[in-house]
Amino acid sequence: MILHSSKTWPLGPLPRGQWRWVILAAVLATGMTSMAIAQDGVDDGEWRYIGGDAAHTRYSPLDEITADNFEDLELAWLWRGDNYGPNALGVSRSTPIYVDGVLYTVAGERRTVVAIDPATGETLWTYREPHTTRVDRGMRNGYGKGVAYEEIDGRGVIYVITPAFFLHALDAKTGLPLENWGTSVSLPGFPRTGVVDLLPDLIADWGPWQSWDGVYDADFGIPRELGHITSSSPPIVVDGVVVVGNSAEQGYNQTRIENVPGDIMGYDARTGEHKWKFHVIPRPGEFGHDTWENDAWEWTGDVSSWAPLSADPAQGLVYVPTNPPTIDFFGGFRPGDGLFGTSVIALDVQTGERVWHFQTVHHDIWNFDNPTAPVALDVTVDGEPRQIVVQTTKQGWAYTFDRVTGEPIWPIEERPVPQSEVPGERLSPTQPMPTRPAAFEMQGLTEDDLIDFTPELRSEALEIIQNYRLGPIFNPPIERGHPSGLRSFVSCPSGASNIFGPTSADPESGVLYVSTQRGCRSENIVPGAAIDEPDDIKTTGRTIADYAVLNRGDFRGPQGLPIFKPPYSRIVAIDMNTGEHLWAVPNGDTPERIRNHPALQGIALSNTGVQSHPITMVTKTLVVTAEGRGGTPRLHALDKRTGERVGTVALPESGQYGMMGYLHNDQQYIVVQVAGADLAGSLAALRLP
Amino acid sequence: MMAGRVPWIPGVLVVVAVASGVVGAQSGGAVLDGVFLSAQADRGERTFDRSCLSCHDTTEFAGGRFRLSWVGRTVGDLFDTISTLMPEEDPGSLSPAEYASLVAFLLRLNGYPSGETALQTDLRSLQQLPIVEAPR
Repeated sequence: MILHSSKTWPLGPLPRGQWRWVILAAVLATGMTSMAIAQDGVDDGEWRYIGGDAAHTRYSPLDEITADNFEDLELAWLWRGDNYGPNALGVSRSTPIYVDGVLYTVAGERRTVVAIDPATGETLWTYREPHTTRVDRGMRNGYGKGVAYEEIDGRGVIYVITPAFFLHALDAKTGLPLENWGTSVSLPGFPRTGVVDLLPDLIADWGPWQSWDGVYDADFGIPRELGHITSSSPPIVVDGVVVVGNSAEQGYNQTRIENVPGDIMGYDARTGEHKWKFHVIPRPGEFGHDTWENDAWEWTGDVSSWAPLSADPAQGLVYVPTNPPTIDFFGGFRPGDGLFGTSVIALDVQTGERVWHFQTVHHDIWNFDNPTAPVALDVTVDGEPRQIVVQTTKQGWAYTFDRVTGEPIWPIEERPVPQSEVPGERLSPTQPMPTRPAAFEMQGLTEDDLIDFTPELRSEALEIIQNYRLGPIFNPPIERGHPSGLRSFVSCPSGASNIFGPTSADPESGVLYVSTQRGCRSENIVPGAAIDEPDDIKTTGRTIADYAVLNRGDFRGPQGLPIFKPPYSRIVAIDMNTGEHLWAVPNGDTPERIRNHPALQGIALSNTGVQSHPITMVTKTLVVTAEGRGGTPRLHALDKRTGERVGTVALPESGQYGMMGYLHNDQQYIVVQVAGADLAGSLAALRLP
Repeated sequence: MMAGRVPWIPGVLVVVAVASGVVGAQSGGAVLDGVFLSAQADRGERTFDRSCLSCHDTTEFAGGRFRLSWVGRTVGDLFDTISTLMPEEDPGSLSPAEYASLVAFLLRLNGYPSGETALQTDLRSLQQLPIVEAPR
């Protein structure tokens, strides 16, 4: 690890012509509702949750950094993540928290917990879980999103879930495991306290494990024949309860139909005692059990909650976004809607009981998992104060609910969708489609959506699509070798709101800022037996699916250009008081490879934006945004009311996933997660001179 | 990191061809003789970690998935697909040498041996290298 002193130094110059933008007076609208949800996470300039607050707004009420001084920002320090694991990953998905004068986050494939001096970037302590075979089985090890925090009798405690699916509780000041906490883990190198092996609690009442003729192997985890589970997000701590979500392995990498359900679990923050479990695949007698046919509830799994959880502490509710069931792009073996797959679930944090739920995709096979934390806001709708929670989705909709009752704020209609021709597949005849807010991304693909910079490019695009089955949103896959002779299906969006750019919001105005990228997918599916790898340690289950994903397809535009019209990515501001889009701006500027493309010479291009999810946070004064993995390494300030760019500074590398802010020694800091080809996942802290 | 480009051929024919070894048997064996350097594949693995791992696991490009997507095609097809489509956020943004190292890494991942010469970046030359089935 390379440590840096507290010295600040100027950021590098920006490319010519991009250095200065007209600085607009940041006169913010005051007519919007100001009925802020409790900002318990960001009081006093702290950032106690990875999403800023339990509501996951990614909002900081600090106002030292403004449109007028934004371009004076300097790099205070760069914290490098190169050495936290055997490989230096170009991934940075962990948003730090800031509490009581210290930053906490995780780094690398081992999800090493680190405490960082917020003024200097110096590493204060680290905590590394000993290696187990469970780590070797993981596909999401490098995707850690951070830690959770709670105070127990005035003592700060850091909670983290590791890729091997252990829950650790650490003293925030020292990084040492909490005394008299958790259960004994009899593995080499593990602490005797401060840790819970989550697997025994998860599978104790699960039929396939109860029927398994073998002993529990804490090093290996769940037998491969039954499944595997890991984690990518931290828990959330609400009212003394540590709520633990989980991750399954990516469904598009799986070939077999059995897996472990990703049940949600609650633990006592003070003792580590297991309090409750919510079955994400309902058992007999539980609500939603009848949405599973073919007895698939008994042996299939996933329905994991890999995206971060959010909460309303005042209501004692935690909001859980879920993944589809095992596997992606074919679900013929699990007919039925499959609750609580691809849903938003509100659980009572003390009991784990379901208070309400909404399934955003029935019988999901499109990989339309809910990819970001639901965002809680207090707004005024039609003159009435409403407590809402918003789930932005890969489909390009912002599903909006009363966060206490689950009632949709605006009607969500069940509308007919295309049906599958894949043998054995049975899709839901309808899917839920919000009537408001309007979709924030292109949905489906028609000839009208195709590139039209020149007649030649459009002609090429029209020729390309002849080989694919286009259709509206929820266009289903076709198998390779389909009688039509078509190469594959095309489904758009592929991930409008997605992992790479969590939604942020201003709790004072009720405006949501959505990161969205235009895209389509065209997976090739083939008989699972053709690609199943029985000896791969990551292969789980016993029964090979009739179909599974061969690869992600080859749907591409003419001459290396996107096949659809720009903008390729945007930030969309939606007033959640009305459901109206306020503005939408391209993310970044037209990429050089498009600006200089030979087929586009002499063409006057409007700003296409980059092909990358923007990352965002909101402050009292600004929307702050970086361009994402495919963008240039710059940080922009946008006018909250208009989206106009009012300042730009350089970053050491492109921003990734998210950012956060805090007040330390009376200075406002913005920490941006950065990574790229020349820099493993790192943190860049900016402040005024 | 990459999405396999698959020419349209009725899937059942591909399955039959691969299963019977027909595709591999009718091609030359250059990729079996070592068409990349071990150090080049090492560099490719590092590039994968930096530029691809954010979206992809190696599982997507190994074993049956690799065989069914790429056996019967050429190293040039693989190079062209990766360098044209990836990284998804900024296609073509890596250097030709980096794309070549990624191809070397994927070949090694699938059991193809390294050799004494580096994989080149000239597409026309790479198109002359058919991908035959690796020994299992």
